[in-house]
Amino acid sequence: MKRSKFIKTLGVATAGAIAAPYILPSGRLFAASGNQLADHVVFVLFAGGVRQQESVLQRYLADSQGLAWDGNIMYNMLNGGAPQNKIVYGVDQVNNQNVPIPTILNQSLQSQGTLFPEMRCSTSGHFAGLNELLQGTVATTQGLKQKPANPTIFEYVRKHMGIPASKTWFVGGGIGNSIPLLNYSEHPDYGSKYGANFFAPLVTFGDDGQEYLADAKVYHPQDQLSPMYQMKYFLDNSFENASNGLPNLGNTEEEKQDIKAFMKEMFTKTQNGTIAKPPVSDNSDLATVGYACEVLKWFKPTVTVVNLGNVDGCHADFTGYLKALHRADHAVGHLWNFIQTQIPEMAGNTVLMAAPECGRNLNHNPIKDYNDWYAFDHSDANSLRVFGMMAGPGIQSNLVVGGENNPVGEIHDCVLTVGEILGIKPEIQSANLVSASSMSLFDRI
Amino acid sequence: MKITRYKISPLERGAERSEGGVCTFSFPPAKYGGIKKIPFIKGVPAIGGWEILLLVFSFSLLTFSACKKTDDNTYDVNNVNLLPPGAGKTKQKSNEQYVSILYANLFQQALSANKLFDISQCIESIGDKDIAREVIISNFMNKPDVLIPADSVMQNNPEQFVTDTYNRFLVRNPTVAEKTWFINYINANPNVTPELIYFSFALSNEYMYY
Repeated sequence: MKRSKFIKTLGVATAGAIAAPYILPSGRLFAASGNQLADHVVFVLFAGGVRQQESVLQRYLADSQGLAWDGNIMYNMLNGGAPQNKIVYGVDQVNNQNVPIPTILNQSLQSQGTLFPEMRCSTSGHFAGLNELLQGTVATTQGLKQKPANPTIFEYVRKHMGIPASKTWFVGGGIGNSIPLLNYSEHPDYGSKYGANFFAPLVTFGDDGQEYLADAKVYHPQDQLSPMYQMKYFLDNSFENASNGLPNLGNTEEEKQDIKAFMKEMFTKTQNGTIAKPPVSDNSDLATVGYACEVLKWFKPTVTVVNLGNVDGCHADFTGYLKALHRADHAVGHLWNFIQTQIPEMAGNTVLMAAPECGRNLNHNPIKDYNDWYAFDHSDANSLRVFGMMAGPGIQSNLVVGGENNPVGEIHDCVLTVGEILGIKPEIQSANLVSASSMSLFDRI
Repeated sequence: MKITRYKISPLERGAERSEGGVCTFSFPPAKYGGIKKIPFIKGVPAIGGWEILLLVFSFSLLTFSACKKTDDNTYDVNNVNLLPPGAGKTKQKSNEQYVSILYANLFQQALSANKLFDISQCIESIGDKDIAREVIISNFMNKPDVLIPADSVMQNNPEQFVTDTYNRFLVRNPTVAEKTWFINYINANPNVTPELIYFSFALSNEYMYY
């Protein structure tokens, strides 16, 4: 072959390889659509049942305790002035003063992005709400201790974008309320092989983890781990039974080693007190967000879901609820700031979304806290009222869609919204497994 | 049974047998006017008419007298799926079962209820259960009181070591193939220690079932 012909052929082949669609591990042909808004999505499940009155409506004590004090206690996320009196949500000082936590963001997320102040959720329960947020369905039959019946956003992303397991993460505040079950569904076309990695960092890296996980022996990858895996695979090949097989997230051996290295690093950082926690980190949501920041920095995932839940203390402690709400806002502010300042690969290339899984009742229950303030459960129509917001590249800034008398958006819209951000909305729609009424929030604008 | 053979003139037979085709013979003998023709195969001795009649009669007698209505029994072979040993283990261990059995296998003593609860929580807190189990096993391996045979025990009698390990972890004897594979692997890989073999068994899929 002549040199010129060889170079020409090589050039054509290279161009073809770059331009041609590529085959995903799922076996389907995927052509990059080119309408991806960002490479990363961080989705905060906020934060355990939030009343509209104390959050987006900024009523503070006015619509709950019959006191005339209102104001915004979520100033990292929402525009609006903070309450001027009866401050209980901040940090207690030695002189019995309670000081609000300083804002982290110079500009609120509302200003940086789009706010849907009046959305709806279909149920007033936590687990059903979380399932709705992650599956895009109205999960009326979803029971506790059950894996999601329909695919989660993690599975859609992994299957239709062809990304590895270590690029999807679910960081849960704890292991209660079936939270660990939410990283993949039991749907036959999706399931564990497209599931997300999961940590409940306060357990994994907490006291139990320090005692039973931190002291892991380090084996030589070639001399020790390799023969160990060879023997394991021999045993696995010899074993066949009638069951459906063990669930497997599909982390490769390299990914598993990477995750174990991350765990080792987290144990060291936890012992040294150098986890990337927010400036104030006096509750478990704030600690969880610290570990979520570490996950983001280490793995730079395509999709990360962070579940916060301290606000649910409102069942018995309204003052604690206000504190938790203020801290959840602090946590989100820190998360966004950390992405923009500490992770160059994700800065300017990440969309942050936040929405509660359910609201709270209009009327209080009979339980009073130490301030003589009533607590609130979640079971009535008011608890179906929530807000949602998103900020990042491709998101219109300083936009408010809908209002108190004009509800726009459902929380199950979040799955298609993430799909639109990552360029796989058509694939999710064609799977036909999200709620029929579900739309991308972009289509609601 | 006595067969009466009628004598046929050699001329009458031999003349045409050599040709094949139709053999002409006489019965009764030609001098009494009997002439028969029967087909024959070249090289097969010809038989006479009486013999044929007798054979037909005998065959008919046997056939009809032997006719008896019987049940139409058809015998066949059932399909049997041949499964490897361990196939009967179909129930997956819970996290608690896994941890308590693992602890008993490695330490030869029972795990306390508190530790069992705590370790199960740790497994629950990690999404990839393979990773969770690996980390827990490697933590156990770091404990001073873990009971693992010395390397010399394995090297001196690998066959017994492999059998004991199968019994300890998988609660069954190894097949000949399994035993052979492990013995060969131990002999061929000087880096393989009882600890690594225990690790692989504790991590195997079969160990996850009972």
